[in-house]
Amino acid sequence: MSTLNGNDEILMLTILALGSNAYGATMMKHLTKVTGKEWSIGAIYDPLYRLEKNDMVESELSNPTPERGGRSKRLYRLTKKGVDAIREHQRVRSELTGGLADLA
Amino acid sequence: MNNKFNIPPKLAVWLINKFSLSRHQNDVMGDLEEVYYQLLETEGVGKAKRWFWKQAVKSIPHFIKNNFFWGGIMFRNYFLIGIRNIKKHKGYFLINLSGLSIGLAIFILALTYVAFDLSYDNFHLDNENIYGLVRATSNANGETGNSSILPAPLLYSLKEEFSEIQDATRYYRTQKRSMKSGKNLFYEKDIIFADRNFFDFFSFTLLMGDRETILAEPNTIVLSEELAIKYFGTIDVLGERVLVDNKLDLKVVGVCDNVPINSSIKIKAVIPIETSKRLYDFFDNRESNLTQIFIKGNNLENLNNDKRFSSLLKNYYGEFPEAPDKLYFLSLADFHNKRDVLKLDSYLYKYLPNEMIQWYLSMAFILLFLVSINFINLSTSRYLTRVKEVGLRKVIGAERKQLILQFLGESVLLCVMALPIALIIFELIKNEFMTLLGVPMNLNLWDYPEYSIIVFCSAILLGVVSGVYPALYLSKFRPTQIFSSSGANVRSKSKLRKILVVSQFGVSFLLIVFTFSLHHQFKKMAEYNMGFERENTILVQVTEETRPKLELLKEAFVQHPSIYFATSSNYIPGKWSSHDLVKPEGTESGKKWKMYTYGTDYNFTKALNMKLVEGRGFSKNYNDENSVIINQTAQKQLGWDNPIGKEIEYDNSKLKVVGVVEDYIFHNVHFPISPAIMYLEPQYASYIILKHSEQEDLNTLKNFLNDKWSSIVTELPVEFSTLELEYTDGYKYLGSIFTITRTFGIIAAFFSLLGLIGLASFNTSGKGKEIGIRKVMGASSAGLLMKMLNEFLGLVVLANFIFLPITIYLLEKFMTYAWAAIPTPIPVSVYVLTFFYSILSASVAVLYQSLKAASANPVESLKYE
Repeated sequence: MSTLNGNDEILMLTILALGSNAYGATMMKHLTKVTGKEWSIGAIYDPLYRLEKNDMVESELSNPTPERGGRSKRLYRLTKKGVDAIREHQRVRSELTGGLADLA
Repeated sequence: MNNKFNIPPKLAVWLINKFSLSRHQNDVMGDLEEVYYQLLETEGVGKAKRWFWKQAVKSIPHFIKNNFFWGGIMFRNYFLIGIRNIKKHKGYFLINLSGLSIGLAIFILALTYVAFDLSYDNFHLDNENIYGLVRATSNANGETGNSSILPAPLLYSLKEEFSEIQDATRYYRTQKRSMKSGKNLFYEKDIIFADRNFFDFFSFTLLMGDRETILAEPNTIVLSEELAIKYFGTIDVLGERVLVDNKLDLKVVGVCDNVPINSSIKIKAVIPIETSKRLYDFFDNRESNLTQIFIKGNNLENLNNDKRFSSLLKNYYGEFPEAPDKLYFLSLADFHNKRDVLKLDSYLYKYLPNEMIQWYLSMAFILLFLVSINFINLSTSRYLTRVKEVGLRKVIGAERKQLILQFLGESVLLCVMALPIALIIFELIKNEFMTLLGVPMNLNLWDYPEYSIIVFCSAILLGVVSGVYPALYLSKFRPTQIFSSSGANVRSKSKLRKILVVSQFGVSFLLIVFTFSLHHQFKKMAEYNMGFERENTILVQVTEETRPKLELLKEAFVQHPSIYFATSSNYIPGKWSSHDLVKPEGTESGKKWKMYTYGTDYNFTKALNMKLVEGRGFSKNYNDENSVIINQTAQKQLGWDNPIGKEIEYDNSKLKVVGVVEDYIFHNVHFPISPAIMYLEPQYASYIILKHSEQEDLNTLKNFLNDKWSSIVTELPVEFSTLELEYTDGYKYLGSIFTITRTFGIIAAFFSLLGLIGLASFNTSGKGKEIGIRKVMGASSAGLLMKMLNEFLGLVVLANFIFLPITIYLLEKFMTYAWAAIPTPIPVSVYVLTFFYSILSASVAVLYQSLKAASANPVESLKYE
């Protein structure tokens, strides 16, 4: 099992949540909204590039848009490997959180 | 809304772009701008800008982390490509690798010697607190001299004046002494007489004996491990007895470790200073300069202008006419480092003079410079092999910065690979080299850890310095140039390369001229007439014990039919520079002349075949006890037209001039011709001088002399030398400078030829079409060959002419320094020879490449792919 750290997991879940509209700006806004604290673009791209290198996520460039100064969006989605990894991660996590329920 | 004030803060944008990887910049900026403009509309410009800044500040640490991550991956990639390139071009790789290894090896050698030289005396526990007392004296001729050899009782007065002195010790050494135990009888150097706290003061290791009580008792001796083994075969020798100088019967009370090679105090045996009074009566003499005085204290050099020194001088020396001008403290380290500058006279040893180390170090740097140029030449000359790779990388999106880093990485990699080879070469040649320099030691880089770090850094630096230009050069081509149908666009004229080749050839020209000149000078020196004959002259040493038998020995030796003359002298002609003040007749009262004074024997001028201009040499037919012979310079300086019969007062006796000899040099080759006198003083002779026939075999003669010696001097061994040997010994440093220069000259010449070959391949590759067209238009192969040769030879000629004045200037300086006494002009033929040599070797070097290019079939180069 390839281990994912907390950041990786949050980012991958964000990509899933945003569906076909997952790119830097939307992810940044979504995460800021959900977590309630400001996310910097560096904190998003740094793990993202590594995840891409490890084939967990893949990206493609959209058509250039005027609101981005004529730049393209880099749209992210999970690969098969990425989906498997996050599922495995969730499974392990739900099994382990049994202890948390006992605590309550 | 997109007006000037509303755009994101420029500095923040710049910062983000600076730190993020270039291929991510578009994504990052796109996202940031998108959110920024949204915020601008909803929250206003101030908040949006603040948000942008916050993003920049918070993101930069992530970007840096990201850079490292990708940098690591890229490095692995470059490394692989570097290795692949090496495998593909093995020959080129080997030439570069061997060049860099040789350059580095010589550099390591020089550096390690410097490390050794700087480590002198650092094993003494508080070596930075050890100082020596030095006197500065000046004479009427205006020369100042520094000497640390001082009267023994001076220490007591010194201690009274300076309460800062925490500890003090004295020692002195004399010439060789005989040492005997049972049947073992040898002459030993470096037997010293020292104060009883000597072993307490310095940190020499005692293997046997009690440090507390050692040297306290008179008539005792501490042996070095070497001597203990030599005489007794073991170091367990406490209580054994040795006989020194046939007079001192001493009890062994200790054995010390052999002194480290980096100790400037060399000891083979130590005897209590009090015991030396049995040999000499002048130990307590207030004026006899005899001992080296060492003291301990903190920052004693700060006291050097202290008034107490003048009161010390006054109190101790009083009205003594030869009192020093000044006394001062000199740290132990400076004894070593400043001895050449101060012309310091002391009992301390140092293997190589600083000039010699500097000469060698500069040679090593020149060589490093040459191999670096060589690397640059060869890498840029092969640019065509890499140019397609560069083009492809750029098309895929590589930036110039990355390519530069890649090529730099390759050259650093090469230098790092050259380092272990350099270390192996260093191990292989170091002993040879140290023998050449006459330093009997095992040089080991790992003894100086901080220097091994310097070596490692130098290797990397060498890689960077050599790699910068090729990296800039190779990375500059644009893909459109490279892949355009006319590949010739890639050709680029390189002025720098030409400059490099010119300077490489220039330096090798300089070294070769130096080699030839040194060779010439050495030949001159071997033949040089010092004013006396060195050939066929044997020296037999006499010491205190054997001196009473001098006349007997001379008579016995001269019985041999091949020995023409037997005479004696106070020291070795060729290493002799005793001088004193004399008072020739007619000089004003109170004035004295400084002249070189040589105590000799009957037949001296005959045995050395010195030319008499007037009068005669010393002869037993006359009563010559009060006679003197002067040289021509003395005659000239005194202005005496008829010197025979005039009087010279010296050493409280009046001597009559009986002869004038042609000028001679009794000291080494650096010595200028000076006024000198010779007088009879066989009672202080140190050497018997024997002039023998040329035909006689030296070994048979020595056997004969040995037999005679043993029949007269039963208890001491005989020691031989020859004048010729002593003469060559006098310029052994120059000999090693010559050998080093010659070796470096050859290496430099080799590298400059490699550089030229590189330039030739650079110039001919890619010129195929030009040559093809020229041939089609009617040019002949021979004509083209001449054209190309001329191009290269032009550079060589240019190099020679640019470096000619530099060479002449440096050579002039060097020759004046090294051979003040023998100013032989360097013949023009040396320059002409070097010039033709470089033309010839350069032609041979480029001939192959040029011939190949010139004789190529134009069809090959012109046919359309």
